[in-house]
Amino acid sequence: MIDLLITEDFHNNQDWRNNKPVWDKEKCVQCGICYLFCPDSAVSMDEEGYYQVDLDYCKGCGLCGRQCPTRCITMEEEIKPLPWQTR
Amino acid sequence: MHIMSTFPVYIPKLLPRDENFVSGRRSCKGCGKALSMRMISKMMGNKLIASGPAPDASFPARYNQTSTGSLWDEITSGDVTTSFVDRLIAENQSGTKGGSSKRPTKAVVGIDRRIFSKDLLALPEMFREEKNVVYICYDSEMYMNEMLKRSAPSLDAHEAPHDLTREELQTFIRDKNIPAQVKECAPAYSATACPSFPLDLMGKVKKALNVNGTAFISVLTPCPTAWLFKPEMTAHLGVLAVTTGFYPLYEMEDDTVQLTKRVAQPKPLSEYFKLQQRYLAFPPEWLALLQEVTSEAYEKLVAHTKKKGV
Repeated sequence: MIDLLITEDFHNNQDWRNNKPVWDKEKCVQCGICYLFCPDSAVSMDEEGYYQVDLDYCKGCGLCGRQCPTRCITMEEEIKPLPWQTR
Repeated sequence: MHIMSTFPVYIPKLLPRDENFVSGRRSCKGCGKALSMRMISKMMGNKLIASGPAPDASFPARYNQTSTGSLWDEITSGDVTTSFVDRLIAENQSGTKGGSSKRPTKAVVGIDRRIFSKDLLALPEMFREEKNVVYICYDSEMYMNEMLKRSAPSLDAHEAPHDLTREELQTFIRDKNIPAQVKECAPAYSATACPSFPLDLMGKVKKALNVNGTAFISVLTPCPTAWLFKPEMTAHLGVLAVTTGFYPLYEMEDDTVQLTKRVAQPKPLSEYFKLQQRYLAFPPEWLALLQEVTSEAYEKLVAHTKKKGV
């Protein structure tokens, strides 16, 4: 168990997350409010001007989805295998 | 070109893109303090030096830029004035003395509100010593728990359980309003802000950095872990705190008070309280009394904005 904890990657927040934000590009108006309200600076702009999330750092708090004026962000449930199920 | 790109809602795109805030595990989901620290650090650019105890500090340390940059230190305990600020000012002055063409920069100090609750002399001491610093106070309303403790016998309650009186609540609301208290220390600029109104917060930080003299900003930072609400509601709770008049946003400059978010019809305080699970056992009589005291204080503040002084 101790070995498992030490080898765990502590630089990302993947295992904190139950939901992940998903952008609907048809509804997105590229306002950037999701980027402004992310407490973990995980949201960034892509080449087309749409926004995307760095899933290494997203904690799944849902603040971006709550603040989105067009409600284009939905929080999808993410079911991840537990550490002992992958090894 | 998109037709919507002319609307002011697109202001976030004009903000500086560089991130001085480190993503990581040091803050909880939906942390209001991390959110406001990120916005403040955006305004200060890459001239940031930060240090502090590991669990609380979410900034990178950039000591190589001492000579030109703003200085940031977060103080969570201990002596406010003697060690930290002295060292910061010394570093700042020694850096700017060497013929730098840039204007001398200000030290920025982040302080948690709980220091003022524990150490009553911290606030006047802080203002007596240093005259050209930006103090940013994170207010996560931890003092509300003191009020909750009075409703039931508790090991760490300071007083025996009793019903709150009107005078007690008035004192409490007065103490909550830090910029009005520090006005006798004559800061050049003091304000209250909230990360739910990001552009307002960033504008105030920018003003505080540019003003000549001491500046003080008190930032309300909703805390999902301690207030017991869903992490996605962080910004909404901040909006409710402002629209109920419980945490009015205003700025004081040259002895004049200006409300930056004027609320015509303040919402009932119960809307703000019912979203927080920590108030589940809060007696309704107290809430009614607190509502009266809050409305009085807000009306008083609105009346003061028309004339000079608080």
